[in-house]
Amino acid sequence: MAALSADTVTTDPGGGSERSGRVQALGGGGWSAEPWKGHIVRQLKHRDRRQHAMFQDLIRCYSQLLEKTSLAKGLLSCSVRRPSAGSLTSLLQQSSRLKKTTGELAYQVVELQQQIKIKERVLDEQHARLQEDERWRAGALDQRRALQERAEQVQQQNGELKTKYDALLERQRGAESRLREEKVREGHLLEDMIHLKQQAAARMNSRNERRSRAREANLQKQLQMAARSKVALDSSSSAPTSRSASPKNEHQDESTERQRTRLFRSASATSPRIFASIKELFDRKRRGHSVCSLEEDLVFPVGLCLSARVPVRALQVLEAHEQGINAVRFSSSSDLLATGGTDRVLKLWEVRAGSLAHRATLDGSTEGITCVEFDPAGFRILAASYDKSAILWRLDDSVPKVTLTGHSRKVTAARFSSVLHQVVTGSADRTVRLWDLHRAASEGFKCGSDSTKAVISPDSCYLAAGSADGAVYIWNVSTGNLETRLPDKHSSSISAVSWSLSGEYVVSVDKSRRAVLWSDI
Amino acid sequence: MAESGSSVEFSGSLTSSTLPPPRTRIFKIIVIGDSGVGKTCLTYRFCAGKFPEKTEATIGVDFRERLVEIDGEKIKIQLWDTAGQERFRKSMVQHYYRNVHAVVFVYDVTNAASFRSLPAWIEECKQHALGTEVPRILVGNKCDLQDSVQVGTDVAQQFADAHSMPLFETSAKNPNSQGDGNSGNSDHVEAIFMTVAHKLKSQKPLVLSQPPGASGATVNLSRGRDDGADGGRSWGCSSC
Repeated sequence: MAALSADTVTTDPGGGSERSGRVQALGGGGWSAEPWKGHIVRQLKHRDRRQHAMFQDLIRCYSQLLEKTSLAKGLLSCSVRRPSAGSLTSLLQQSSRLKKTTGELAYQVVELQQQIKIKERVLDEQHARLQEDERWRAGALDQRRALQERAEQVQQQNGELKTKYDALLERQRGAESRLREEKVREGHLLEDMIHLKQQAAARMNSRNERRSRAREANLQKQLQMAARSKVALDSSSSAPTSRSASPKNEHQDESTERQRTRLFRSASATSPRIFASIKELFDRKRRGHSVCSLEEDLVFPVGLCLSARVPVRALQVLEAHEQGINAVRFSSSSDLLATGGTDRVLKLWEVRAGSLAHRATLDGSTEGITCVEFDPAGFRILAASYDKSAILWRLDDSVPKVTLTGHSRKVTAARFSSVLHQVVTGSADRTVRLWDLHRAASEGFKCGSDSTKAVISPDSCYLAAGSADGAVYIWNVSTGNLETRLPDKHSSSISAVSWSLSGEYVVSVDKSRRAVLWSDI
Repeated sequence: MAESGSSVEFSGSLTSSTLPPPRTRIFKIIVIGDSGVGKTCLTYRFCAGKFPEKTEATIGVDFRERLVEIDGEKIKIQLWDTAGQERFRKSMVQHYYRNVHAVVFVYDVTNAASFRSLPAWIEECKQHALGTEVPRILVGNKCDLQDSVQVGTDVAQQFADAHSMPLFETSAKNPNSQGDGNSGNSDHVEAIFMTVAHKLKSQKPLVLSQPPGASGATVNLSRGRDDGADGGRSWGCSSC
C-alpha cells in the first residue's frame, strides 16, 4: 500500500513539475497576470504538504515501533528469566515476525527518502528555472521601459516636428498672401506710374505745342513787321527783299482763308460735351485740309492768330450799355469789338493798349440785339435782333445798309457764310435761313436752336464759355480739361464771350450791362 | 531758310526791343522697338554721353533732352524713350505719336525676333496717321556682339530699302566698334541722332509743327511738305 503510493508520488510530481516548469517558462513575462500559473504552483505545494504529512506519520509510526521493540526485548528478557517453555516459542515467533516487519519498514524508509531527494531536486530545478524566468522578465521589463521611453521620445520629436511643420505651413500661407498682396500692390503701383507717365507725356506734348505756337506767333509777328516795313522799301526793292516779301503776301492770304473757315467753326455750343464733335471736326480738318476752298479775290487785313493765351486777369470793366448785353464779337483784325444789347443798339469799341474805347453806336433795330458778327473783310457788321430781322451795317455808317426780314420769331444768330454776299441766320421760329445779300432773299429749313454761346479760341486750342454764375470758363480742347475759371467780375449770368483773333483778348458781356476785357498780360 | 534769315534781319532793327527772341526749336523724336533692344541705352548714350550702368524696363516713357547746335542754331532734341513691353505702353501710345517729328525704329542685331516685329511697329506708326514727311530711321543695336549676330546687314538693308528708311547699325555700349568708314572715330550713336536732327532742320525751316487745323496755312509749311514728299525718297537713299 505504501509502496504503491510512493510510486504514484515519484511519477506524478515529475510530470506535474515538468508541466508547471513549462508553464512558468511560457508565462514568465506575465507571472501575475495569469492566475492559472499561480493555481498550479499552489496545487503542487499542497501536494508536497500532504505527502510530507504522510511521511511524518510514517516516521512517527516507525519510532513508536522502535520503542515497542525495545519494550518487547525487555519483556522477553524478563520472560527468559521466568522460565516458561510455551510462551518462549510464541515469543520467538513474535520476534521473528517483528523483525520481518522492521525490515520491511526500513526498506520503505529508504525508498521514501530517495523519493524525497528526487522531489527536492525537481524543486531546485523549478526554483532555478523560476529565477531564470524572473531575470528574463526583468530584462524584458527593462527593454519595455526603454522602448516606451523611446516611443515617448519619438512622439515628442514628432510633436516638435508637427509644430515646426505647422509653423512653416502658417508662414508659407502668410508668405503666399503677402505675395498676393504685393502683386496687387505692384499692379496698383504700375497703374499709378503709367497714369503719371501718361500725364507727363500729355504735359510734355502740350508744352511742346505751346512752345511751337509761341515760336510761330513770334515769327509771324516778325514777319508781319517785316511785311509792313517792306512797304517803305518797296520802291527800291532789291532782289532779296522781293524774295522775302512774296511769301508773306501769300501767307497772309492763306491765313485769312484759315480765319474765315475758323469763324464758321466757332459756332455756338451749349456745353463742354460738344468737345467730341469739335475734335472730330478738327481731325477731319487736319487730314484733308481744304474743306472749303475759297476764291481768293479779296485780300483782307488780318489780325494774326497763332497762339491763344489763357487770360488771367481783367484789364478793364465797364458799363457798356443801357441795358443787358447779349452779344459780343471781335473783328477779324482784333482791333475792333462789337457789343449788342437789349437797349437795341450795337456799339463798336476800339481795342487799344489793353483798353476799350467807344467808337460808334449803330442803331436801327427796333428790339434788343441777340447776336453780332463782323464780316471777314472787316467792313461790315451783322446783327440779329428780337424784332425778327437781321441787320447789316457798314462800319462807317450808323444807318443800316440791309435789313433782312422773313423770320417769324426773334432771330437768335446771324453769321456770314463762306460764300461772299451770303448770310446765315437762325431763329426761334426753328428755321435757319440762308440769305443772298444782293437779293435780300432767303431759303430756310427747320432745325433746333440753343441759347448759350461758347467760342473756340482762334488757334482752336481752347474753348471759352460764359456761365450763369458770372464766371468765364476756359477748357483745353485737346485734353478736355478746364484750363481756367475767371470769376468775380460779373454780377449776373454771362450772355456771350468772344476771343480776339490775335488770341490776346477775351471779352465777356452779361445781362447786367457789363463788359469785361480779359487778357494774360 | 533764306526767308527766315531775311525776316530776322528785317525785324532785328525794328522789333528786337519789343519781341522776345525766338525760342529754341524742339524736335520730338520717338524711339520705338521691342523690349530689350536697347532703346534706353541708345537714348542715354546720346543724351548723357555714356552707356548706362544698369537699366530696367521702361515704364510708359522716359524723356531725354539734349541741346545741340546745328548751323549756328540751338536745337533741343527731345527723345521719347518708349516702353517696349506691351503692358507698360498700351495706354501711352497716343501720346507717343502726337506731333512727333521723327521716328527711330530699333532692333537688336543679336535677336532675330526683334527684327521680325519691325513690321508691327511700322504698322502702329501708320495707324497713328504719321505722314510720309516724318523722317523714320532704322537702327540695329548691339553690333558689338559680333559673335552672336542673328540679323545680317544685307537682310536689314533690304528691309530698310523696302520701307525707304536709312539703316544704321551701331552699339550703344561701344559705338566705335562699328568698323565702317563713315562713322570714323566719332561716336556713331551721336552721328545717327545728329543726322536726324539735320534732316529735320532742313525739312522744316520755320514751322515746327502744324497747329491743329492749320492745314498748310503758311508758305513755309507747304514748302516743308513738298520738301518732305520727295525728300522721303532721297532721304532713304542718301544715307545708304
